[in-house]
Amino acid sequence: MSWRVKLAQKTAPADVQALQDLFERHDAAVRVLMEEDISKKMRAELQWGVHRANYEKNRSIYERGVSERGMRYLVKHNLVDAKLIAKWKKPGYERLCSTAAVTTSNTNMGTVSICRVPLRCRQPEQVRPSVLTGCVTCATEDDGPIWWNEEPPERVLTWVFC
Amino acid sequence: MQEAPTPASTPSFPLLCETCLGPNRCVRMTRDERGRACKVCERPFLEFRWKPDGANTRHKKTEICSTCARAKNVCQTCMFDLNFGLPVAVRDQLFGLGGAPDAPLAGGSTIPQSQKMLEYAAMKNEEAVLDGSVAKLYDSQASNAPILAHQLARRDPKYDRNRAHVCSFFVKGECKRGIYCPYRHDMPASDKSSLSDQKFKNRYYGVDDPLAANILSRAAEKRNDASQVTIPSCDDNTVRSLYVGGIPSTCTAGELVNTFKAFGADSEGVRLVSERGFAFVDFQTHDQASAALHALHNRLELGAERKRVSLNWAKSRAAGAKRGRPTDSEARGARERDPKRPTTVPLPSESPTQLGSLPRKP
Repeated sequence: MSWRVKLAQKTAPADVQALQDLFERHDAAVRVLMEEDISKKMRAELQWGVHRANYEKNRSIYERGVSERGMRYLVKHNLVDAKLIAKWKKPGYERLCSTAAVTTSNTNMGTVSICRVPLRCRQPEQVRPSVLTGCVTCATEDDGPIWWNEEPPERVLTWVFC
Repeated sequence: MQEAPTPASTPSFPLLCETCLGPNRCVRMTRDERGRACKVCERPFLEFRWKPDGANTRHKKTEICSTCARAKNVCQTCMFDLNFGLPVAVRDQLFGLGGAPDAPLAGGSTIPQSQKMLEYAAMKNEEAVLDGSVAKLYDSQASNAPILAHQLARRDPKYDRNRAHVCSFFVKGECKRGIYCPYRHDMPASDKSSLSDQKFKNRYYGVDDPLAANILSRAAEKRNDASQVTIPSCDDNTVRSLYVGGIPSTCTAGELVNTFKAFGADSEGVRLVSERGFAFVDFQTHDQASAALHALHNRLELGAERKRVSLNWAKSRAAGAKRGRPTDSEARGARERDPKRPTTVPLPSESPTQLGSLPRKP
């Protein structure tokens, strides 16, 4: 809700104000998440929606493109996930689903999430959504991220049944 | 409040058999101090957790504490003997550690029921482990084993126990995870009902262990020891057919009819499948079938070579037909035929949370 206030201020750059529809779309997605029936969902699955919604919102802003000044404004007022967008600028992390996937303190063995491993390097039984984010793969070469609630595309199925 | 006592003698690596560790000796383990209660002595203990190598394995963890494991010289996860891979009841009987000769499966000790007995037993085990008496007891077993121990022991590891568990949602036809499901999409083995009802404490103390009973029964069959052999029972009184297995090709249907005519079967009731070496014999009543089974179990020899055949109750046709693994299209068909389920599959909507069904491709 406070993003409306931030966007309405006089100091907000014009291209940031033009992002309003993306923020509204994110609000709608979050509202759906809050209202969904959780009784049939797995405990881990409840978090996946949050990671996906966060990705969709930041990705849409990143792809539409803002000026440098606009981006500074967004970061300063916490309107975007700055750490995630910073990763997208690094080689190899262009399609990262969430910063949680590369935080090694999140895993038992101190590794990154399984979704970071390209599908061609995985065993068939490892072609699964990451427990943390619900992302099946966010490797750049796999044209990720592919989420748990999408119909698995052909390039995923080939690695499941090989 | 007194803190729960933990086993004193906890080493840095769990006591495990080769099978539970998996074919690859390189495994990554996590350790959790006082992570879980031991399934036998119910005290908190250092829990190790790892994933054995292999396709579709599950994560395994130590189920009993190291003290309990050492007291019986068993693996901390599967509770089979470390030297022979046999259940405690079988091992104890072979080495004369168990109960009275006339009640070999009763075990040397009864299962502690009360909290005080549980703690007392745990304390006794601790003492025995710490002063080295159990180590002395089991060290000599590997070298001084009776021949039967080596015959019964499994030579090669069987990694089936490391597989993922059966998906209970798939069994009901409700698994929405599809190809992403980490559990096994198989039907559970339905015929071994007593084997699927095992309890940790029974297996550990060697009391009422169905797997041990099976192993000892088969060993007794080999040795022709009638007192040990258990004749399979059938609770269903409508079943009046027997299954005869391992029939040699020299045996004819006529020979079968002659054998079972005395018990009430006629030539129409005998169905022999000679290529596969089995037959079904129908009787007129359940009691006739039971009498035939009791008379001939482990004794019937057929064919020119007088080969001993196995006898058991016949499973009903419906159960037999379902024993195979249903293909996913069959399971999906079963789902679609259910009138309560919607017949159209919802398309994934634009909302990121709509979970469309993920049918598993055949």
